[in-house]
Amino acid sequence: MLVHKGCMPMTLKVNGETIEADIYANMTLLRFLREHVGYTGAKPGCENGDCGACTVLLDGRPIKACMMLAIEASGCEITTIEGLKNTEIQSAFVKEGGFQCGYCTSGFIVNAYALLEAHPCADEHTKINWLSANLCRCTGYEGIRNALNGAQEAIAKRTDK
Amino acid sequence: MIPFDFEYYKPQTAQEAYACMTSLKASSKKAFYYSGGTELVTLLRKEKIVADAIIDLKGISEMCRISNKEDFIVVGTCVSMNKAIEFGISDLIHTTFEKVADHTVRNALTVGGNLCGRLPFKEALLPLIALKAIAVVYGENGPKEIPLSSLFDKRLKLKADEFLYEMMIPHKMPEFTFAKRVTAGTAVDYPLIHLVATSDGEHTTVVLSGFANYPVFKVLPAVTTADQWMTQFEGLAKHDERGSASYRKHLLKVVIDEMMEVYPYAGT
Repeated sequence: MLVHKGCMPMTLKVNGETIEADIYANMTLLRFLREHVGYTGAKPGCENGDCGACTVLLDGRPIKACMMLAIEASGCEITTIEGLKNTEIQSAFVKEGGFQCGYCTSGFIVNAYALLEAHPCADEHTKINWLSANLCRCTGYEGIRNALNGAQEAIAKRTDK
Repeated sequence: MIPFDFEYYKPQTAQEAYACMTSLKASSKKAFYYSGGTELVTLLRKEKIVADAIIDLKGISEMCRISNKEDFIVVGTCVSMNKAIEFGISDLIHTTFEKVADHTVRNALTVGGNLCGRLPFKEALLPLIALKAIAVVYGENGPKEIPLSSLFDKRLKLKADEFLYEMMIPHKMPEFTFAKRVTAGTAVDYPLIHLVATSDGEHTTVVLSGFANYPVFKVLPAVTTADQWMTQFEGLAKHDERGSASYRKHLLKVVIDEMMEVYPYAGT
């Protein structure tokens, strides 16, 4: 049985890099990534699991890091927005203007990236189902929707080659 | 940030988990079983719950998998709701689970966590009761099987230190299934009313969440009319910031009428 009392070591991978840290059990994954590892891309929005600004990938699946203890991620692989480089979804968000203040953007991009990895041919129902997990107070979602569709087309072109 | 420290345990067997809980309680420590954490982490952060220790059940392998056992699909209660959907247990489970919380939360939210949490909706209960699932509860004498409909009365009637271990869902699906969920605003919201119904032609089960202060269900003869169903539930309608009792009663009538339009046993 794993027992974690007080400040104890933990190991996990973040964006491909093995991280070893001494943490208390009460540290959320969001706080760990931002304050221990230094990846501030995932944001504290509501810290209630509603807004999705804290979305990261845990072993490829999007999760809300504000609702998870860092200790739970021990031995797992985390991908933050900082771990996504030159992806179609990132280019599409720039091209389509899928952001204004940018606070929700990392959460949207990480979730959209995971969606298109899992379902490159995602239909409208699937896209809405996944992306309803993220809130934007600025854009009205049209740019975000266009970015998602644009990335999907770009990925289809890339994979068709 | 959760403003107080606590001990974290991750047992590898159900026996270890139960022994850990009883040991912590004997030491006067306030301990909680932990599954997906989607409710508990927020409650701990807001200090609505203060814990000395949490026991993470996700280290128990059989609680994190779905398997077949004779006439049942066995779902470990630490299986996430998305994994339960993806496994393809039944269309009814897919339709119902897919409406709970949102897709990202459902990657962490577990079947057991939804049933055992403090929120009054417990929407995972709806298809499980309608499909006549059997709950496997782990306690002092190991696992025991109890029909979920017998275990639930306003909340799960678990004894001290017991935990929900597995859910056994019959392979045989009912002939009639129906599900309808209504929210006040967006789809990602708690329900004003979520109705799930199944029937085998002799008896019909109707389960409701969001309508009353807790999930409610009734099993009645298949010939029960819409008015008779209304009589069973309408007195339980709650009034809150999402909707009034009278609005909920109106919605109940609308949903039951919708169900009866496709119900094959009316008047038989």
